[in-house]
Amino acid sequence: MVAFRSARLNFYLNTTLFESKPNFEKENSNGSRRIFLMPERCTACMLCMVACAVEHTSSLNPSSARLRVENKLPTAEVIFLENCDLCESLGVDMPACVQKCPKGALRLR
Amino acid sequence: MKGGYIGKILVVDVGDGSYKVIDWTTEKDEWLKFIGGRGFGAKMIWEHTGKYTDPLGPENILVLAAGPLTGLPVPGPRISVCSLSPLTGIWGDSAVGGYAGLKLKQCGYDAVVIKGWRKKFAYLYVSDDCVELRDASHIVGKGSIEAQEELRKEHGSGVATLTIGPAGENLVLFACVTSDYGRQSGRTGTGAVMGSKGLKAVVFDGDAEVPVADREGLLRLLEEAKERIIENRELFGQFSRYGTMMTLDWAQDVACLPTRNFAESVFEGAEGISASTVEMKVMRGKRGCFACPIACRTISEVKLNGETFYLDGPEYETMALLGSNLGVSNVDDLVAAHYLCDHYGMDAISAGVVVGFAIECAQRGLLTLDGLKPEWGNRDTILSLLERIAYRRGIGGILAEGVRRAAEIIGGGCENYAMHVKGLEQSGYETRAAPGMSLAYGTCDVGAHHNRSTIIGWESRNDRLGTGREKVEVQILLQHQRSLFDALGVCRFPWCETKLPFEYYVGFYVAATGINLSEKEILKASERIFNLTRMISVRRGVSRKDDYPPKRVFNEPLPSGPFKGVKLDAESYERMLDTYYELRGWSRDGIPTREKLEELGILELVEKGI
Ligand code: SF4
Ligand code: SF4
Ligand code: SF4
Repeated sequence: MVAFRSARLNFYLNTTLFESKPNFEKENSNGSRRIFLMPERCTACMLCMVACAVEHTSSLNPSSARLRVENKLPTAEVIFLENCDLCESLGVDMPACVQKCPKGALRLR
Repeated sequence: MKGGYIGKILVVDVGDGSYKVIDWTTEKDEWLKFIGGRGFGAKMIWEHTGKYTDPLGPENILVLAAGPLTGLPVPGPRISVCSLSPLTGIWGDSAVGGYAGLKLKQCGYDAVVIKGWRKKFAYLYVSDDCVELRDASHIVGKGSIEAQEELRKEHGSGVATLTIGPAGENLVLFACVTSDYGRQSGRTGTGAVMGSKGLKAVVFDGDAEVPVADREGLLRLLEEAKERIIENRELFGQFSRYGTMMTLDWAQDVACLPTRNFAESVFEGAEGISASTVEMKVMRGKRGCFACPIACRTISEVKLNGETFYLDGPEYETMALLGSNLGVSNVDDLVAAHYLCDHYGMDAISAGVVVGFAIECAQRGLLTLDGLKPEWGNRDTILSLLERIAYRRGIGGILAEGVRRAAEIIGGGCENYAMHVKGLEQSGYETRAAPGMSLAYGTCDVGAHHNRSTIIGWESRNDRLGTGREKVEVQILLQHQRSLFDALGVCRFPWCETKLPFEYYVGFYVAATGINLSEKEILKASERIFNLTRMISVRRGVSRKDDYPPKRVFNEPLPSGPFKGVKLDAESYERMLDTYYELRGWSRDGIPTREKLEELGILELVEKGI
């Protein structure tokens, strides 16, 4: 494998590239739980959709997930559907989509 | 079938829009031998085309084939777009990533085959319960990305599209098929085949589930694989940040960076187009294909005629061929050229080689460029040439035929500067000081492409200038391993770039399909496919005489860099080729022997088609 020379690169390895403001979000009825996306971090990989489908429908079909990722340029979009319950029905601290997002683009607050 | 596979192939005749669905599970043993993806493509092209089939005629077929892992959450679904290539006249396949593979499988097919042809452009709409040819007059003439956006407006943004641009419509022989903004089935001119059929686009609008044999097992393996990828922090960090772009610095270091039409192998302006420059100046985000935690793709900003566009790129190949190979050391010019290639829908690798060839020939007085200045790195010349090629205007009409034909037409000794093997323009490695990589280009089944083997990496680590047997052995293993990913229908980068062990992919296959294959058997299947694609080309006249790298590699010593004075030794190349054929079980003339075909279990199939 390539031994990369640039010192800048090593500096960047574990830092955030893009500053972003929270956007696309979903909140539960009493406002105690909220998920939001940091769009510049999202790579449109749809692993959040896979995670949601696995948790809620026991299938691997991203189309049955309760959120949609749309690959747009320059930033992707995430839309939570009506039936997303922020995983409250599962009784877990961390919603599946948030937990499985490899880029930390989905956040829980 | 228990999973992975759907069991159905859709065959559409674009002439009248009729279609049929083949249930291949009735002959399942015959198909499973070929795994899927390019393997299925090879089987169908062997059976349905012949020695005299015109690649741009109605008898040629275009196969869009997914593999058994495509559409499952294995990183990076791939569709192999397979056909007889109009550029090379022989077998051609190229894999396209993004989401299209997922959506194709979700429509309920393993593959879609396009046959026939029509006069007026149409597009094909496929969903779980509908197959329809629709009028395409509103998108004809549009760039491949514009056409995609138009279709997504019409059918919802959840669909996946494969489109061609003006280059495909105008039968530029290296036109490509585009998906998701800038994922390309780049090589071998599949876009021209699509254009010749009068098909502007294919829309996949499926939502069905892709079946899987052992869901829990697959999920467990995937989770483990993700850990393995991420745990390799440095590699993962670099590759997900820079993707293949980081290869540029490496290629410069080890002196294999094609520079000014492959005349040299180091580029003094590499810094100006390197990964860190891209990041500082034009990068605006990262993208991953479906289910890929790596996300190696770069989104960058392009300024063209005062307007801003976004590009899904660049990546190493485009940086090398549209960058150093054209003497471009300004990243803005590089992304502009890349964007135009994507917009017109033509292969940026071939386009880079063709433009480089034109500039060099013009400098040597063999050609005039319609008044454009034949200067390296001249933005105007490069962008204008790309446009002329896409619309086949002026000199572009000749260049649109690819370097091999262009050199024949122009004459005057310019074939010495035509960088191609079997008619396919050479991709981004200069090989005078890399005999193994020369052999990789010489023997790759589609022509001078690195998708079957990039032994240059191994070479530069172990034995750069050697021509021994071990190198040839590694080469053959790589050809089987790398092309297997196009049969499985997934991206190979997690394996070859972030070092996910190969066994995982065998594991994925077993978990997905419930079919127990060992690593050895699955590599055998890959060898089987490689031999069949070779036979497709052999049937159309290919033999030893075609398995040589471009003339320049033998004739001109490198003028600069650490390997100054080195050129490829013809005699040792012959010896390597002999060894290669011997190890492959091919005759001295490069034809698979009866015994080999028998051993691979395809003798009967081959005999039927000869
Ligand atoms: S919060 Fe839970 S239900 Fe809502 S999209 Fe995420 S995983 Fe699905
Ligand atoms: S998993 Fe994260 S990065 Fe991937 S699409 Fe979902 S939000 Fe975006
Ligand atoms: S590694 Fe890159 S090309 Fe491969 S699936 Fe991931 S994002 Fe796509």
